[in-house]
Amino acid sequence: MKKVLAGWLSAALILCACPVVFAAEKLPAGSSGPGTSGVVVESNDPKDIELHGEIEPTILSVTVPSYIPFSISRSLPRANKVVSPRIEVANHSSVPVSVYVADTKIDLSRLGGATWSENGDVGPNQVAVGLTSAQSEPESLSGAQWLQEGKQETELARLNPEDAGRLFVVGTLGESVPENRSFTVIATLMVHAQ
Amino acid sequence: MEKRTAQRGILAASAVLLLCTGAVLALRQPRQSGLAWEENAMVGFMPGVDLETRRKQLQQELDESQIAFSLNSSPAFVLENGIPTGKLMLENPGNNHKLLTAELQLSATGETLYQSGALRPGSYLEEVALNRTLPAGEYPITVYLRAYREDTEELIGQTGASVTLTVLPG
Repeated sequence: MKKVLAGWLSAALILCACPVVFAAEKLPAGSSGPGTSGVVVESNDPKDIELHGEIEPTILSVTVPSYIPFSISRSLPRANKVVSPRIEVANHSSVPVSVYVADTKIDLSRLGGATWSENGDVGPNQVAVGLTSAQSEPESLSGAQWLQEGKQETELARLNPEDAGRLFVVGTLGESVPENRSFTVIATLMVHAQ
Repeated sequence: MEKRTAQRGILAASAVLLLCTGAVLALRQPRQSGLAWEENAMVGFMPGVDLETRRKQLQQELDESQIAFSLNSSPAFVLENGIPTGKLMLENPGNNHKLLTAELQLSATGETLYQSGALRPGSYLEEVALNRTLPAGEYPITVYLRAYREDTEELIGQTGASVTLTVLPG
């Protein structure tokens, strides 16, 4: 009796599963449902299946200064005559970025006729200022990226994702540049995703 | 006579005090708004100010100018009625504590394609429309970001990013 019952139950189970199996063999084109991965989708009326999606943009995310003050003095007993703040730049992006000087505005009108040097070699009445990547305020001028008036694209640092860098202002001046005067050298720092 | 001498002494002291106060106030005037750049460099050191003090003053000024920003590094704009429109996704994070404006310029010519209003800290500029049409193609652009003090709206400084703007046909 028990064996007969077990047999009937098994048969019933098999019969109940059949519609699911048969239904899984063919689905109308475009339908979806649970467990459709790996299932062949057929249709008597073949249609193009369009896939729609959005490409997530790469976000550039950084921290940079928007204003860089400094002082310069012949009294400093070293080649680099500039006292500079630590200029921290940070890349919070998922891609590398380069940090560069894009534009520099220079106004020496209050320095009694002093002129600008764009290469670090200064005459008696000249000033030269640049930026350099360093961990501490440099003593020398080696490695300086000299600032030029107007537009320029001088790379200062390359930062990997989630990386940070440090820059300093460096510079020198001739012996005839008057002291205790202020002037303007505004460098605009820009970033560019690599 | 002694009274007059004392009064003159008080007047002289007051005048000196006023001059000193005026000098201090003049040196600490807030930066001008707009694109007038204040002198950021000094030749020599103020009398009585040592190197380390000056370094700290400079560091404080620079730290106050630090800005963080986020931006779509490869914006793709679509022509809608001839106007390129798309996601710039510019964020002025809440920890900036500064107002931010954005100006998009064609790198080749310096022409302004878009100028935003001031973004408050913690706000986000998602989609923008340029102020002129551009044929479909790729354009190197410079996004100038200018930072302003929240309370006085004075210009602090500027920075930015160079990106390539893609204009897709509508």
